[in-house]
Amino acid sequence: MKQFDAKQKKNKGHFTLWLTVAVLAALELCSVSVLFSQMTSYATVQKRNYISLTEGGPNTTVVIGQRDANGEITPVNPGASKKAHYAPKAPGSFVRYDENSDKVGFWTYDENTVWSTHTDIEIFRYQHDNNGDGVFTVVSSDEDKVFAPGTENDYSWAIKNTNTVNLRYVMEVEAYEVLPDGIYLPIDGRIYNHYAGTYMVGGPEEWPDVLDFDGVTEEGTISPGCIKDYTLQWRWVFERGEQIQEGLYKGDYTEDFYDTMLGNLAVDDDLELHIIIRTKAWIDDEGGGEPDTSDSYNPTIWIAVAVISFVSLLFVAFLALKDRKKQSDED
Amino acid sequence: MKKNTMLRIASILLVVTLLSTCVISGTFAKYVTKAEGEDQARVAKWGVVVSIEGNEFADKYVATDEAYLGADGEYAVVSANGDQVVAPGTSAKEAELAMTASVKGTPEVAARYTLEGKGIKDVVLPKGTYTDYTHLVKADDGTYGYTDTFTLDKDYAPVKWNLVIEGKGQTLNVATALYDNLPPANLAQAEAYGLTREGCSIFDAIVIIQKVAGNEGYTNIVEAALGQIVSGGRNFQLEADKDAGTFKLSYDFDPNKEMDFTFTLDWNWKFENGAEIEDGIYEFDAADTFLGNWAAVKQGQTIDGFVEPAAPASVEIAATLVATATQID
Repeated sequence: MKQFDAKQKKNKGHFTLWLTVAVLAALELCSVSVLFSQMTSYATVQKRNYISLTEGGPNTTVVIGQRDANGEITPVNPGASKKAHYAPKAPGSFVRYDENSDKVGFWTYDENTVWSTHTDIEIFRYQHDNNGDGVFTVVSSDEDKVFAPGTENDYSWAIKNTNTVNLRYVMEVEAYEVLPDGIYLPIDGRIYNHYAGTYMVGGPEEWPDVLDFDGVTEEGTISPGCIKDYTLQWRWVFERGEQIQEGLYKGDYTEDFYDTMLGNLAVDDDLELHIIIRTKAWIDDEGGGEPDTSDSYNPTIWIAVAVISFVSLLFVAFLALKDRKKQSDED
Repeated sequence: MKKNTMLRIASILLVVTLLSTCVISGTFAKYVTKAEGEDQARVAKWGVVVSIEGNEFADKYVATDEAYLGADGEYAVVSANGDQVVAPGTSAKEAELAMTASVKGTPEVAARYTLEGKGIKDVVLPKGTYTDYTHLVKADDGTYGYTDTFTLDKDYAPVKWNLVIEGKGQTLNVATALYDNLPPANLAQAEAYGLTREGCSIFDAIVIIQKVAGNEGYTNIVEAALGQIVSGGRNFQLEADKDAGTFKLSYDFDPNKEMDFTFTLDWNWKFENGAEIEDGIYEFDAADTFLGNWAAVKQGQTIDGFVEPAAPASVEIAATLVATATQID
């Protein structure tokens, strides 16, 4: 009887152990299937035919296109897109792309580079050739970029959807000055959206203050392969205000005194203008705004799975110890 | 043995399940691509300081003859009413007067320094025939009078101006530079218009500039001489308008070139002007005396038979200088 009871108990222990193994196996199958089903939605578009310029690794930079004699970017990966609407650089020059900056298939780029999370761009310059005659009449004396009466510049950039699905995007502009109290910078600006054919700031004859850039936002959807490009212009008019007197001080304008004051202040203080352009994009699978980037599943379930697994492990270990003790007793 | 294998399998499955749980939670986070482009700039520096100092003329001048000791002490020329005056033998340098125009600064923009002369008046006796007040003549009736005359073949402007430029510890005398560097033919031409080693009258300078400003020889000489004193400059320009009584010179500087120099406007009226005719008597003594008498008549003194000369004759001298530094677009 005693032997029969011991055998019964032993069979019961084996059954419990098998049950635990089965439960754990089932849980693992569920986890793996869920894992792979989610991964395929976010796999990036396969890149082919790129010429890698570096060894590879976390900061790999690859060439995505080459500029032709007309300034148009011919993608190395065929199947891209429209002509870019900005001033061409030297034919044959490359447009570079940092793979690590892109998880969604959304590029923000200019004629030199595809932007990353922080990119120095060329809205301003270290030296200016105001008349286009090759003579630089404004030149920085250090590593700072500068502006002065008569200087101006255009900066163009674009956004592009390289994914196979629609993307939602938001683009924001921030502009601010660092100045002593009571001082302003007489700099005008405007932003043109080539894709929409409209001005986001200013107009054909309208040049508002450059601080009007601050807070300008564009939201929308960009379809696969689509490019939207923009041009930001700024200028500091050389002769502003009314002319004082013809002939006597020819060329003197009422605002020359203010501009001169700024130039003299600049000897000891930096009178700065900052412009920042931010973009972000995500897959448009919710038809709504920016998604919640956190896990949408109830964590309670996963905690429960972890607890059950742990308890099962303890139970299995307890059974094993118990059987071993019994065996040693029987022995 | 079987149980141990089962235990191992169970343990492995447990660990794998726990790991999978961690990975899965990460995959459910949505991807958002963000990018940011930023740029900044500052106002380019100006900081150019332009100044003009000095008073070009005085109301009294020290005698150069050390043996002289007049009622006013050492002063041989003294204004009667406090007006600033000029006379033969006076000069800005000897009176320690001079109008200086200085500029200093290193702007980050291209700049043009301009020195303009405005409201220019010069002591001038136009060519013609005038009473010679240096020669008292006895008439047939025994009376004495000023009956002799003298003739000027061209306009006479006795006060000579000169420009001296100082910088980098060096000095450029414009008149000397022209004498040292002009080809003989050009120098002769300039002398014909009134250039001397001491300079020339403003009147003559305007004529010279008007006649020769388009001649690159003159401007190249001055620019080359300036380049030894003022580095980073180029494009020296001269303009003059005789009728308006103005002149303008300008000099351009590239960005970040130090502007640090001084223009000094010097003048002098030689005591003995022109060639010596006789012992102690010089060619233009009669003209100087006539001008002095005219000045006295203008102050109210009566001189019998004095005939005032016609325009553009003048016993007044004046010059207003305007210095500016302007950004080049």
